[in-house]
Amino acid sequence: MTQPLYRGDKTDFYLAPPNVADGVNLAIHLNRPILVEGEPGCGKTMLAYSIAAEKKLGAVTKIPIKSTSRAQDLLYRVNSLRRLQDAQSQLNPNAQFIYPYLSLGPLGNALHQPKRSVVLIDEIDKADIDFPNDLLDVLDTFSFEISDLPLEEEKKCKTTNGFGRKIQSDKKTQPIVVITSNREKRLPEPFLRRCIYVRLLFPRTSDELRDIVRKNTKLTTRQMNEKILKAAIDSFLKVRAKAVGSAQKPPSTSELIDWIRILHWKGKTVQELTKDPELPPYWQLLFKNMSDIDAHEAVAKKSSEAKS
Amino acid sequence: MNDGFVLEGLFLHLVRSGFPLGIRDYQDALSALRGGFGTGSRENLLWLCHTLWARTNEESRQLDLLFRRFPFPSDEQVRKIAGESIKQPEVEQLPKPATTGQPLPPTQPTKTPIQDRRSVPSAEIVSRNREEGMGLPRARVEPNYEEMFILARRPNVSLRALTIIWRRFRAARREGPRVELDLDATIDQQCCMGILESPVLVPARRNQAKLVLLMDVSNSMLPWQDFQRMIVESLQTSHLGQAAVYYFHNVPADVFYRRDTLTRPIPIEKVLKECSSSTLLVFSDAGAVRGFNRRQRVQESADFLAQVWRHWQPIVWMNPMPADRWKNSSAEKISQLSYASMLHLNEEGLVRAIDVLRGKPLKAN
Repeated sequence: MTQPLYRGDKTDFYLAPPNVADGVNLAIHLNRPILVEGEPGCGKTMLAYSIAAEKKLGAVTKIPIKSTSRAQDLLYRVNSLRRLQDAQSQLNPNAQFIYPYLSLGPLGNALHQPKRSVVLIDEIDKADIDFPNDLLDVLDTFSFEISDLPLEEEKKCKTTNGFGRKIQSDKKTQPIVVITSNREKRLPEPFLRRCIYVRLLFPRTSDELRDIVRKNTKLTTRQMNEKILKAAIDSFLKVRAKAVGSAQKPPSTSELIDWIRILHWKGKTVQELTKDPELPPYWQLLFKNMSDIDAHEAVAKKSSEAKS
Repeated sequence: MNDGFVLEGLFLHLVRSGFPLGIRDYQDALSALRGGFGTGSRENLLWLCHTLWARTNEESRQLDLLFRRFPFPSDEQVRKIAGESIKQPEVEQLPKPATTGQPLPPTQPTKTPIQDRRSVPSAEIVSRNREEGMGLPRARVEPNYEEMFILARRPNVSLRALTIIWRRFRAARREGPRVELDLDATIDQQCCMGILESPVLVPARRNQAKLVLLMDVSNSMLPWQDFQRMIVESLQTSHLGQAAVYYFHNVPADVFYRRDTLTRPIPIEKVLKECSSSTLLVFSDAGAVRGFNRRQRVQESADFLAQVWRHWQPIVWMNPMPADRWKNSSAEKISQLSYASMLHLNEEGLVRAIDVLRGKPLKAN
């Protein structure tokens, strides 16, 4: 292979499991989009940034999807309103053309630019059900046509804007497309077929979690010693084990990192953490709504009563 | 051992088992092999096949089972497979395993170097004709009762398809606050008065299609319970003007229920009032599942339809049983009633049902 492989551990803010890194490499090799799914807060979005940082591809083009997003908005836009305003004045001959009011959208720009980049289409499941299908052809061929631009204006558009009717990405500079989904809506079958599917699972071992926390908080062993970190992670795993399946949103990696930052800031000790591992200091921070907090408190108290 | 067959054979079997794969998926697999993915060990190759070809749990399970039947190629063979395909056009190469490819291991069991073959019950594939796809496998061994089966749900119509079908049901009318610009009227006004006083606004077009769904939750409808829930779920993204779901037991009568557990009753008069001038979809087997022909059931259903027909039109009765199973049961009699059209509950049936609800009469069968 000509390019160095993505390893997922070279950056200082992200650690990808080996199977995820393999999936990413496969997708890059086959020029297919990467569809990332996983529970909220497990680092779906960060994966894109980690790919960009590790492959030194510069800034990530992030496209947050809304329920009103249309596929065409990602490709190009025509500022009709400005054109209408300009057309009111006789002094503005530009208004008879479309090309001065034409600009490329974020995905169009990524396809057009002569260097490779990472495009992150965030939370695609928020859009309407036809959105993924509209995007399918563009992601398949890495090209699209600006149908709003009349043929006779193509030359002028090329000289002023730098692009013509057809935007085609060069094979070597095709963007790496990362798409995240929270599974709110099911994606269409052809779209799923086209993507390489990567599922981010919660880390299995406390060692993995420790590495992730160290990378993200940038706390050295001197600032937070190994024993406190281990006690905190063990306690976190206990809280999570109780919450998985019952809580609306079980605590995930992002909550863990915030929580450990607080523990460090407040200077908590191992004794405080091990006193009641299911209700450690500031455990409320691990949950995101009232009912989860209440439910966890009740469960933890019940089990501690049973023990005593 | 035949060289080219490891991936081709597996791929062709997957296609025959109904995996929606194309030649491009196969080419991508070869390209990945050429790039060094999926080589080295059996697990790696399996991982590659999973990542590229399987998308659901059910597909993964089928792929696992099929994969275990195929011997693992050496690195050299992999290179050869990947290399060969560059020289040869893909279309010519694909039918190859049908003639030269090694068939499934059960016919030549001694040649497979798989260690855990015994754990896989060998199966004989019964197929009359290759074009017809793979027949049902007939197990040669006693079934292992401890084996865990993953039974994947297969709804009559997928959730996505349901949403798309609901969206066909449109009756757009302008209603609500005046928010949209009426361009023609605005230009007219400007031409008449010489100046643009203020733009003319009209209400936005909204889907006014109204639908009442009546779901039978009696025991005979139990196999479709999950699907019924899915229908209700799909209504949330349907953009219908109004969609109300009520439940009943066996035969629709004077009282409906708001929950599928037959709780929170609501009298029919109230429903008729709340959902006036709506259309009606009934989901019930009408006795076709058990095949009983009960006069009372037919009479009660007819009375009910006659009662609501004055309020809700058109009425479509979706039957989860296929039409040939309605014969000699109450369903046949109910389907002959003039109030409602009865259709089989599948994708095609639902599309036709929406046509009927929009006012296109069903063609006489």
